[in-house]
Parts: sequence; structure tokens; C-alpha cells
Amino acid sequence: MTGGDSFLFEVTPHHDMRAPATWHGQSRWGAWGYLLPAAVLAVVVLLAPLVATVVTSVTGAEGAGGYLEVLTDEDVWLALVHNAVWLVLALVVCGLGLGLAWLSRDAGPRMRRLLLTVLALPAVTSPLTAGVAFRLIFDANPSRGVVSALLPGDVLFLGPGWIWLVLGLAFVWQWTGLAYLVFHVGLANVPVDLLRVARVFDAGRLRRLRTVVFPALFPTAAVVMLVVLTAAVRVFDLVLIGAPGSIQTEVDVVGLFWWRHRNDLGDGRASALAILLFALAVAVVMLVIWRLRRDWPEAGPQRAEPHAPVPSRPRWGVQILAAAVALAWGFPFVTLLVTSLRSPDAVATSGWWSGGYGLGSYGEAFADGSFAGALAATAQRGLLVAVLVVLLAVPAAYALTPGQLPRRTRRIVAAVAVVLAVLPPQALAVPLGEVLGTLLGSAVILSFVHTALVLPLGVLLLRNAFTSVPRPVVLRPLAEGRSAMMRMTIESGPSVVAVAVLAFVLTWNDLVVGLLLNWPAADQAPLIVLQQARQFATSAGGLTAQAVVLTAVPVLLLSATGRWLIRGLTQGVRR
Amino acid sequence: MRMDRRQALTMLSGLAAAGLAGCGGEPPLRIAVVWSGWELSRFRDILDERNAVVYSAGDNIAALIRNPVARTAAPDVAIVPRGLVEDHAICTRLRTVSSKNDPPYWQELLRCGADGSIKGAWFKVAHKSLVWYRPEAVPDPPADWESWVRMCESRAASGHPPLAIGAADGWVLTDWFENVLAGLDRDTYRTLHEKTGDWSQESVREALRRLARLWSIENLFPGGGRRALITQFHDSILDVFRYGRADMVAASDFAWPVIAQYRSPGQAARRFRFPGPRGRPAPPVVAGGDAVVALRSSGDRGGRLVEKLTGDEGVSRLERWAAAGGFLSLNPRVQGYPPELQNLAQEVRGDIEFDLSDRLTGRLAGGNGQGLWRVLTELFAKVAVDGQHPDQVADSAVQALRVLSEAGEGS
Repeated sequence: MTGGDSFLFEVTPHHDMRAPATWHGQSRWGAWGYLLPAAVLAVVVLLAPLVATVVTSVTGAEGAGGYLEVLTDEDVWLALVHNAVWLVLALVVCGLGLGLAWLSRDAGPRMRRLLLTVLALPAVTSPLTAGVAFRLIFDANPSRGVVSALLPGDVLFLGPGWIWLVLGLAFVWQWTGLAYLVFHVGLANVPVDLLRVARVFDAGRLRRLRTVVFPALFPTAAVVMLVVLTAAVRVFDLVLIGAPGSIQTEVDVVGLFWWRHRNDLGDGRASALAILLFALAVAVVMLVIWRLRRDWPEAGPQRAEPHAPVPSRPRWGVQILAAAVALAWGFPFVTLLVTSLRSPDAVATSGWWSGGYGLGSYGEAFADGSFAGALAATAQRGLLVAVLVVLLAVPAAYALTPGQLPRRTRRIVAAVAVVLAVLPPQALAVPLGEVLGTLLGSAVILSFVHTALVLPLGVLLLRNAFTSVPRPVVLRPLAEGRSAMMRMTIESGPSVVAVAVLAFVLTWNDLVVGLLLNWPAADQAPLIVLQQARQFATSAGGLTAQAVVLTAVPVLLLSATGRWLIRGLTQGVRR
Repeated sequence: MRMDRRQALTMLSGLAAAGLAGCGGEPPLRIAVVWSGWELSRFRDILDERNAVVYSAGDNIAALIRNPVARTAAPDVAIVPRGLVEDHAICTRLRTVSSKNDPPYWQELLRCGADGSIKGAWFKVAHKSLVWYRPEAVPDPPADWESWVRMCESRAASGHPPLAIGAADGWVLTDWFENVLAGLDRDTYRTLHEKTGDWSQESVREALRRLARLWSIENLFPGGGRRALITQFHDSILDVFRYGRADMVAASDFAWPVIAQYRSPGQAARRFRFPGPRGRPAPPVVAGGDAVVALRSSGDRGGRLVEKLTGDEGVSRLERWAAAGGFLSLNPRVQGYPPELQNLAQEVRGDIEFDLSDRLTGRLAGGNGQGLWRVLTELFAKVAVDGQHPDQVADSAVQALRVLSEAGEGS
């Protein structure tokens, strides 16, 4: 492996990237120029507010003692412990995704495709929608909740203790698909030669797993774990909508605690808490990178084409299991859809199996026009963010390819990007809100905040894709002293699409940024859904209708671009 | 390449801006409200103003008035819970407006700022001292707290849970607390919202004990205390009037539209006043409300809209909402309330105490997992779910309230 560029996602260039070292007319300053726009946005929107928060946290009324006060607060500790629970769940998600990917090798191509579709959909669903779906399924009223109807007993799933099961299931439901998808591709690329050698030397199944399969999966696992662990640190909307008000303190996480108590904590302590949350995210990510950044011996020349999945005959047991998993994963969607197709009164008083079908809930969802308006504004913002992210991330990623910036600089920039990719918005919200409120204050500004927040991940993904573009393709423009950026972008088409879709979906589903920056609900669709959910049961009809509409957009986008997305997300991950 | 990018950017941001700003003429008046759904639709219905944009700011409304991040979303007029007027940063941004229809006590609640003028008019008020019940299950309503508790005990012992409660919503519990405390000791009730309010007074402890003892009754709630803890306000109404799982629910006048919409066919609904302690004068009505305020930026148009929404010219429009229920006006000319809500509008103009939880500031202020809400939710969980001793639980609640009140406003 060419050590230098294998930071975070182990990238395997197809050809020797080292020579020739200099190009006609391609100066180092040119490379900086490519990085500049992205860097400026990141500094203005991310780094400057972050620094301001750090400064506030040590210059507040208590000085640096604010950290100590926060850390000795019983409620903060509880929230930290809860965050740890979510991190453990994130590991469960990775394990489950790997297990399913392993099993599905024997499930036959059709079943594999079905699994892939059903499992991937929740990943583009907003946590808000997931919370709505699971709260419906586990409704404590036996006349409404399907679980309570089937298990008449004393177990109250939304109550103390059991709420963890509901929220945990929602989280697993949401993220397992992503792990499955990436591991699915990763497993297909496990070096067959090495496996064969191991088999020849009579290594057992377990041993083959340990010595060949797992090491080969490390780079893949880095991507999955970065995304899922970040999601675990940032858990917010799921808890906010999934748990009844009286249970919220029981499942408080640091991000939510900060939002609830930033006023009564005071500026100093609130900033200290936000920085702690950020530190937690960085620590987790560093751990992942440190664990996963080990080289493993090169298994002969890489094949240019990804292997076909290990061929095998579909096995019945596995097929049935896969079908069961697909059913279980589809169930929350079915619940949402069927519920939304009932009249609001029927939804409030009875379960989805008891009739009352009609389009009344959609009527209610769009009744006052504010939801439609918010949808338009949200979509507009999502598009703008997608365009901005691509425009900024493409040159920045190009600057991070070999032959542009010096190697050490590239590594530093990539490290900064990783850290910024996990930055929780809580660490920015207060200073950002003050500046935006007094200086800029226009509706377009939220797009720039979103752009800056998605940008680091976009740059990292594109950098991996660009680095794995076969060298001969870009040699010609480089030799002629021209930029190879366009060439690389075209070659990495799927990744560019993936980044644009990612940016749109993240913006479309966003609740946290809007909420923290005190955005009016009428301008961000998920905020309207949250407002509606105050009296959950009696508004569940309109709520599910809105959730279905909110989910339909990313799902349609996913089905339109799915093929590219899979390639785009895994491009540059050893293939 | 670079030129294209710039052009694309300009075009896109222009599009976005145009889409949000609307076009031409006098800019529309922006009206922010806290409601959503049904109430928002009602409000649009009665607003009847062509050149206005109504939007739900939701829980962000305070921050939106105090320090708007999105200029295009900064409201000209807002309908807000009263607590916001107490906020100094908000008060300084408000125009002086008032309604002659508001009784003096109510007007005083909206006085703020350096000039000490009245900064709003009451748009919609709520009567929070009611208990709704099914007449067939409760043949004679109790006259005082003691007989109510006894009634609940005997009914619960016979296997019928008497009470439904939406303990998942913290404000339901604070309404209970306020009603009990206002009946026990009005003078203390009036001082608690002040920064120097003393929460360790005996009457506070007594009110909490009464609540704890009532809520600890075995079989008091349908499905038990554990289910009551995750039951929301609307669900508690359904428990009584839809499923018949309980007999009574303590709920404001705005329970009526929910009852009317979801009760099982032919189900009658009656109400009695939240009972006060035996041998004491009748307790005051606990009332809450939303006020309409105009921001300085709105100019005269804001003031005119306030007049339109609360003054006499709007009476016929307000009656449309009043007839649907869930809306009480302080304007005595507004008539046409449903028969089930007769006299309530008069009662809130009379002898009232304003909702205490809406006046609390600092660490006592409400919200899920915060302040008084949290203390009462924990009290409820301890007695109704964990079965702890009511008096001890009440004592620890007093302790928690004292800590919160002494912690002040943070720093």
C-alpha cells in the first residue's frame, strides 16, 4: 500500500502516483487556489464560530472552571452515559450490517437486490420520520399500537426503561442499511487469492475470517463507522419526537441537554458543554481511525474490475431469513403509509388494521398551506446546497490529489476535514446565530451553513474517488500543463452525484440546524412536522401524511440515482 | 468555469430570495404564531387579511423576536405566550399597544419596559380550573377537594379508574399544582413568580402533598400510573370520552373541541369547577392566555392589526372561532360560545390568578425536562409509578424547587 495517502479511508491508487513530480505550469499556488473557496467557507462558518465557542467557554463567568462545573453536573453525566449507549448501538449496527452482508452472499441475486433496497431506504429517511414510525408502532394504547394490541400485558414500550428499546430499534433500523451496503461491496472485494491460500493451508472458517476477511474490511469499516458513530454522537430528532415529554429526561443526550438548558446554564457553561460534545465526537472518530489505520499486506496486483459477488447457489434457510429481514425493515414504512391513508379521526382512535381509509390525512397535512410552502423552501435550499457543495468540494478534492498540494499538507487538510465532518452544530449555533442575525440575515444564509456542514464529508468522499481514477486518464492534461480536474470529475461521475444527493438529503432532512439557529418552522418542513407532533396521537394522521411526503422525495431521488450512489459511496474504497 | 460558477450562484440565490420575499407593492405583514395545525387554520380563517403572511414559529418564537437569524422571518406582529413579555430583550422591541376590552388585572400582566407601558392585548385566553366528566359515571360532582379525593378512592377501589391525566405533558401537571395551590394559599401563589419567591413555604409543601396523596391512590388511572406517565393531554380526553376507561379529566376549556371531535356517539360531557379545600373561600380561576404584540418595526400597521384582532370590529370574526370551541375572548361582546362553555368567558374576566408556570423565569421555567415541569413529572412518577410514600416525595419536590429557585438565572 502506498502509505502516504492512506489516511482514514485506505485509498489504493491503480497506478504509481509518484512520478513525475512536477508539471509544466502547474504551480503549488494553483493547487492552493483550488482549495481556497472551500477553505474560506469552512473558516467563516465552521472554524470561526468554533473558536468563538471555545473562547466563550473559558472566558465565561466561571472561566475554565465552567468545564469542571459541567462535568460534575449529575444530569450532564447522565446525558454523557446515554451518548455512550448510543455509541455501543452504533457498533451493534456495524456488526448487524456485516452479518447481514455475510449472510446475503448465499441469498441469491434477486433477494440480495431486495435486501439492498429495503435496507438502504431508512438511511435516507429523516430521524424525525423514524421517530414517528416507531412511536406509532409502539403506541401504548392497545386500540392503536400494533405491538400493544398483539402483546396485551403490562409492558409499556414508550414508558421508562422500555423507551430505550423503541429508540434503539429505530436507530438500528435507520443505519443498518448503510453498513450492509458498504460491507456488501467490501465483502465482494475480499481478495479471493488470499482466501484460497488460507483454505489450502487448512485454516478454519473462523481463522479465515480473522486473518483475511476482517483485515480486508478495515477500510470499508472506516467509512461505515465514521458515518454511524457520528450519527450516534449527534442523536437528537429521534429522541425529541420519539419519546413522550415526561420520558425525555430519561433518554436525554448531550446534544438535547444543551439545547434545553443553554439558557439556564449560562454562556460559559453552555459553551463548555458544546465543546465537550465536540470533543466526544472527535475522540470517537480518532479511535476509529487509529484502530483501522493499519496496513495489511498487499495481495498481489489489484484487479481493475470489482469482483462479482462470491458465486453460490441460493440457500433456502438464508433466503427465508433474508425475506424476514426485508419484511421487518419494510414494516415501519408500511405503518407510515397505511396510517397516512386513513382519516385523521380514525388514526387518532384506532389502529391501522381497523379501516377508515381515505385521503383525509393528506388534506389535513396540506390544509393551511404552510407545509406546502415549507416543502418548496426546503427543496430550494436543498438544491442550492447540493450545487454549492459540488462546486466547492470538487476543486478542494482535486487539490488533495497527489501531484497537487504537498503530501504533508494534504494529510493535514484531510485530518481537519475529518474533524469538521463530525462537528456537532451545537458547537457553532450561538456565535453563528449572533453573527447571522445582526450582519447578514437573509433566508439564503441557511444554505451556506448547511453547505459548510456537509462540505468536509463531500471533500473526503470526492478525494477518495479522484485518487482512484486511473492515472493514465489524467496524464495527458497534466502533461500539457492543464488542470486535470474536469477529467477527474467526469471519471468520478458517480461520486459527484453521490455527494450532491447526500448534500440534498441531509439538508432536506435537517431539523437540528434549523432548530438551533431559531429558524421559523414555516421555512423548514421537518420543523413543521415537529410542531404538529405536540399532541402526537390526535395529529398522527396529518403527521404521517407529512412524513410520507417528506420521505418520498429522498426515496425517489435514491431510486433514480441508486446505481450511481452505491458506486459513488464505495469508489476509492479499495476495489 | 469560474464565471459559470459565479453566474450560477447569483442566479440561484436570486431565485431563492425572490421566492421568499414575494414581489412588489407594500410588503406583506408578517404574523408569527405559536400554534400549528387546527389552531393555525382557525387563525387564518378569522384573520381575513389579504396582505399578510401567517406562519408558525413554534418553540422558536422567543428567539425569533429577540434576535431573528432570518430577517425575512422576523415578524411584525406576533401572538405569544405571556412569559415572553417578561423578557427584557423582547419587551424593548415592542410597540405600546393595548385593548380597552382587557380588564385591568389582565392589562397589568402585559406591562413592561423602561416606560412601563402596556405592550400587548389579549387575543385568546384559557380557563384552566375545570374538570370534565361523564355524567353517567359521576352522578353528583364533588363540592370540595376532600370529597373529590374520597370519591376517587371509592371509585378506584370498586375497580373503575376514576381519573385520566395527561402526565406526559408537563403543563398538565403544573395546571393541577396551580389549582390546588391557588385554593390553599392565594397570597403565596402571587409571590412565587417573583425572583424572591419562597418555595419552601408550608402551603407549597401542602399543595404538593395533596397532589402526591391523590396520585398515589391504587387504580386511580386507566392502565395504571405507568401508562398515565406516557399519556398525553388529548389521549387523556380520549380515555374518558372515547373509550370510557376513566370518568373524569381535569382539563381547560380548550379540551372541549377535542371532546366534541372524538367522543363516542351520544356521549354527554359535563364539567365542574376544580374543587378547592373544604371550609375555605372558593378558589380563584386559574387562567392562561396568548397575547398579540406588535414589533416596533411594524409601524402603524402592526398597531392597526392588534386593534383589528382584539377590538370591536373583529367581534364577528372572533365569534367564528368561539363557536368552534377552544377560544375564549376577553372582549365581552364576543358571544356564541358552545353551550358547554357558557359563562367561562365571564369567569375569566372575574376573579382570576394567572397561570404561574407561564410567569416563571430562570431555572424554574417550563419545558420538557426543565424547571417546575420536571419536578412535578418526577413527583408523579415517584408516587404513581414507583409507589413511594407521598409525603416524602412531596418533601423532596419542595427541596428540588428550592434549589431551582435559588440557582436563579444561571449566570
